[in-house]
Amino acid sequence: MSATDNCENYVVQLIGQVQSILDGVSDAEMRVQLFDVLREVFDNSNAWQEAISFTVIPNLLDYRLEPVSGRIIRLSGVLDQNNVAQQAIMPISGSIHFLYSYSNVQPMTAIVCKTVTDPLTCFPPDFPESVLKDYGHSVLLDGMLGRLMSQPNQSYTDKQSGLFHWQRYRDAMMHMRVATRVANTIGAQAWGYPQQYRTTTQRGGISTFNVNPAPTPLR
Amino acid sequence: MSTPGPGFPGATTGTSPAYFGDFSDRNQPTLNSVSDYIADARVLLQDTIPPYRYDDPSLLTAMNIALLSASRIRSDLFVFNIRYKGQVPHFDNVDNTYVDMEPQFRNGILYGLCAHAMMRDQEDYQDARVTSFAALYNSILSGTALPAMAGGSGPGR
Repeated sequence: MSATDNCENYVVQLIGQVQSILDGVSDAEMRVQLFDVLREVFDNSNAWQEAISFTVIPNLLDYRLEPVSGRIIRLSGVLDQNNVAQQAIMPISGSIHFLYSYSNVQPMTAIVCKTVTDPLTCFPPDFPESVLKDYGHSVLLDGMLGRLMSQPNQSYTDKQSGLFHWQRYRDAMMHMRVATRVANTIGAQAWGYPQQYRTTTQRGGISTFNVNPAPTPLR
Repeated sequence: MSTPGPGFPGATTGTSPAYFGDFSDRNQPTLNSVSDYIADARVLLQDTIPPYRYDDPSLLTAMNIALLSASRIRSDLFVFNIRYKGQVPHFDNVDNTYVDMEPQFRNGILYGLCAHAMMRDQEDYQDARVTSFAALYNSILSGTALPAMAGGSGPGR
């Protein structure tokens, strides 16, 4: 996250709101809960994505990806240089496995979903500042309040309010998930075109797969 | 990450840097070191002129015990401290060694120190003060309502 003054004010506001509502909460506990909220949010929403470029070489199916920051948790998709989706999976976090080998060297781009990493080592954790600005008041604040108020035998324990904030948190997180799926658009389809009907498959007897450049229009 | 504080409009320029937002507790000078705790404890214990009634080793022991007890009441103050791997610190000397404690809970440790130190005394008003200090220690750490200070007298008495 870029450490701009503007972004820092969002952090100060978030922590200040939690601290003013919860009497007796420690900074350490807030840091831990914020990290866990971020981890849960990114795991549920896939909102933190990064496009990682890498080069495919012949007869090699597995590739290790290194994100700029954060930790890779799942694969959103792999595109070749013609922006065509390729068939790949991520059996191990951070490693891509292609279902078919390629015959020539070519650049590709993997879209990966990430989450926060290195708890307690830095504050705030490294994550996109857009998440803080767009969802800090809803997802992050309610998540922290819900988790903290639900703890037993603390001065800030409040089961009823904790449940209220927890429900707001879950609801806001689902909004975040949907917004990510439709790429922050209004009225766009929340689903992708069924991939079995796409026109770049080898079905039908005409192979357009792994051909560079593609001989026919791809879409 | 720069810290808001003295640079803000209307803020006065002080000797201590602002720490809110970056959580660098070391920048908070109040009750920062072991000697700070011992010095303020002597004020509360009315023991500032040598020869001391409460010597340094006994106050150090009281402080270490207050820290140990604090880890029971508020383990989050210690277990998330990766610098010390979650362990409770121990101090052997009255010097400027930094006591890693969040600022908002430092006076709680101070009251716990005083409570343990005064337990040796066997006088009625001292017992009341011990009880008061111990109650303050617990209430500050646990975040519950502060108890009444011992020795006070109500109206008409």
